[in-house]
Amino acid sequence: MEKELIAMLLAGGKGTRLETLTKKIAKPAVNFGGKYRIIDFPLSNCANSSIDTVGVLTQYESILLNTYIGNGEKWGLNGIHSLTATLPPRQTEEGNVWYKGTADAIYQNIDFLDNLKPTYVLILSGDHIYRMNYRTMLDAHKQSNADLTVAVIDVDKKEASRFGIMSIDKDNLVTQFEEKPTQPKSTLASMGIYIFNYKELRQALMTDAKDETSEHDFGKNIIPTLLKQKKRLLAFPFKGYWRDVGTIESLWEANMDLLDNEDAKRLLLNDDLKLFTEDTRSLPQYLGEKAKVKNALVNQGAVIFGAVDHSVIFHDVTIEEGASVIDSVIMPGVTVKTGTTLKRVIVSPNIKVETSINGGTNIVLVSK
Amino acid sequence: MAKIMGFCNLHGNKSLGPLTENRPLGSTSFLGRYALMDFTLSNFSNSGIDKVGILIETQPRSIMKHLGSTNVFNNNTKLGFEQVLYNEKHFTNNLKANDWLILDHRPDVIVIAPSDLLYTMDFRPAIKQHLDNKEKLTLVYTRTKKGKKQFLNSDVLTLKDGRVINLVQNQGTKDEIDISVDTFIFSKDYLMTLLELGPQVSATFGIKELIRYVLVQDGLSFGTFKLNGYLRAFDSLEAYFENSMEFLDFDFRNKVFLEDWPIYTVSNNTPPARYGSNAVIKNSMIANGAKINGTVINSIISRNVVIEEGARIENAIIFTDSKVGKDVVVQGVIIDKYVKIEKTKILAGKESVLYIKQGEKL
Repeated sequence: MEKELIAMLLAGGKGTRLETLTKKIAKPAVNFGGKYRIIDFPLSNCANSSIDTVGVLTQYESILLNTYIGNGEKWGLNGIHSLTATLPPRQTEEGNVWYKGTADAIYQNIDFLDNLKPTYVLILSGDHIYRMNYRTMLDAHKQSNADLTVAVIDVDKKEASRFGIMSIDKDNLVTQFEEKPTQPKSTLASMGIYIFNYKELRQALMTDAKDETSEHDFGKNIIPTLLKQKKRLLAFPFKGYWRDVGTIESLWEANMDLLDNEDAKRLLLNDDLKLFTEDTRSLPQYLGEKAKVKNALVNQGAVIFGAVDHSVIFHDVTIEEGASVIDSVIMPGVTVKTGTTLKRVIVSPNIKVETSINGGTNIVLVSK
Repeated sequence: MAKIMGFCNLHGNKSLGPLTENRPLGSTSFLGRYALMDFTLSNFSNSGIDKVGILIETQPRSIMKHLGSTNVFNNNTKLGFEQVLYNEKHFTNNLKANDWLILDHRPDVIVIAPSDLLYTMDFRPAIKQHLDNKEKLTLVYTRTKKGKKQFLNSDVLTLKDGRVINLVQNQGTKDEIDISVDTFIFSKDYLMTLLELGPQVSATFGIKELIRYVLVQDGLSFGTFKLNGYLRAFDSLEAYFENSMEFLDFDFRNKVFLEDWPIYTVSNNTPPARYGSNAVIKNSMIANGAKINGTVINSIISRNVVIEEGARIENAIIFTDSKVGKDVVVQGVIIDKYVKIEKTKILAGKESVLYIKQGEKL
């Protein structure tokens, strides 16, 4: 079996700053946008980019994530030529080793890659909200004869120190790369999306694995080393909505963007980059006699007798009569009891809320 | 353990007028999300029956589109299947021409269930009773108290000592009658015998005619199993409208859709419904992908329907991908798929429900 392009999706992260939302599930499995999980975005992008082979690297709390990914059927990645494989760390002759970093996770699955004999490998993160056709990125990679292509996006200057920041020349070739610099020299941030020539990737991973000082991280180690070796690194500029929803605040904001931000609204378009996800078998949503719903996204299975304004309501949520939900995100299976007012909160899945909460200037995560 | 096979029978469905002009009743949209046959297929699936044949009389296109090659009903696995059987105009010919399915899989018991009656039923207790009593055939029935008004196209069972001795079309003269649920539990050998007999008697016989024939002609009696609970007949456009609208009663809806009896259907990966700043919605069911910025009262709105600002929808059912433009008033109407209403400002059914056919631009 030989594949031109296969994807390796890094989905092992905990997402520590998402508080109790990631207590029992990995960040890529966190609910988003009324219907989805974060990992639906890269997996739908793969499906829509005609990538039929995806390895998903899981580690932290992987039960739900591994079950959710299954055979890739939810994203149409279960065809006869397709392969969707979840790749958690495993016991080997050398012993039991956890994934020590993003590069190490790929290194430990080099047998998987070798068997598939890809020409190019697309490395993705399971943490980001965006829609993208990776094929156009591959075209740019091939045209430029690059060894590695990194997708980049222009970010706010004050945000820049959170990202891998690069400088480029007039041909979009990377001249400088710094991971999370304190004094960023540009606002061009790496989106954590890489296309490697597999030969280059393999070589780089083998060398990095032997380096005991390395943190085995793409941003911190692999990319700087390739730059030093004068390899050809291409920046591929991305225009459109892209968010790293690493905190409760940014998760809330990205959900609100689906109501207010025209770029974010495009995420839900029924076009060639349509999102795929699980079907929850819920009934159509029901709005009762006294319901008041406006400026909202509401998913199937929701039952609303109360008021909803400027909020995102997931499947199988019940909002009782006399309850109000404003500027909030209500995750699947939640019941908001009568007389409760929620404002500027995210409510964790499958709980009953009876106490009114106003997040005020912050955003409050309501959990058990 | 007995091997069970199910057949979803689309033969002999009544016309719902223009609504079923281009589609069989079984794949007609229901509650904005389902096809009517989803209930029967889910009854099979939830009863643990994963070998299912679908007997199609006409217009297979719409059925194929709905079922595709998906596995929503848990039938298309290496163990089970969902086989579309389309061959002849009449039930016996169809099943006989497709008897390879039965010969291949050698079931002990065959359950034939309708697609024009809506009900939820666990077939297992009825099958157990059928086997325990060593019946050739067991008929499922229910008792209605509205026989004068409803089920006018259904058959009434004549019972004697709990066994059925005749099947007669409902004359609408009595309210309290025992109605056939058109669900037949056959021992395989007896069904094969009837299939041999059928064409010799009449080429046009359906399953009901065949059963009636042997009951009357041969003086036989068969076992019965009483279904308690929800059952509705879809035998006219008015019945379709009423049977849909009663689900807007939330308590009623919860009595039919039970947590341990999911109704499966085909997923379309549509995003959540989007409500604008002028949206006013009361007592309605809304499917995903709908975009609503007008007023919707006592209505059922399907996938991807757009209701623009100032539009007012009341007592209406709107099918997938239709659009009601600015300031349009719609009352007592069934709007089929891909309809656009923009120029016509008022659309109202008077005594009976108004129907707007697929693709109309008004």
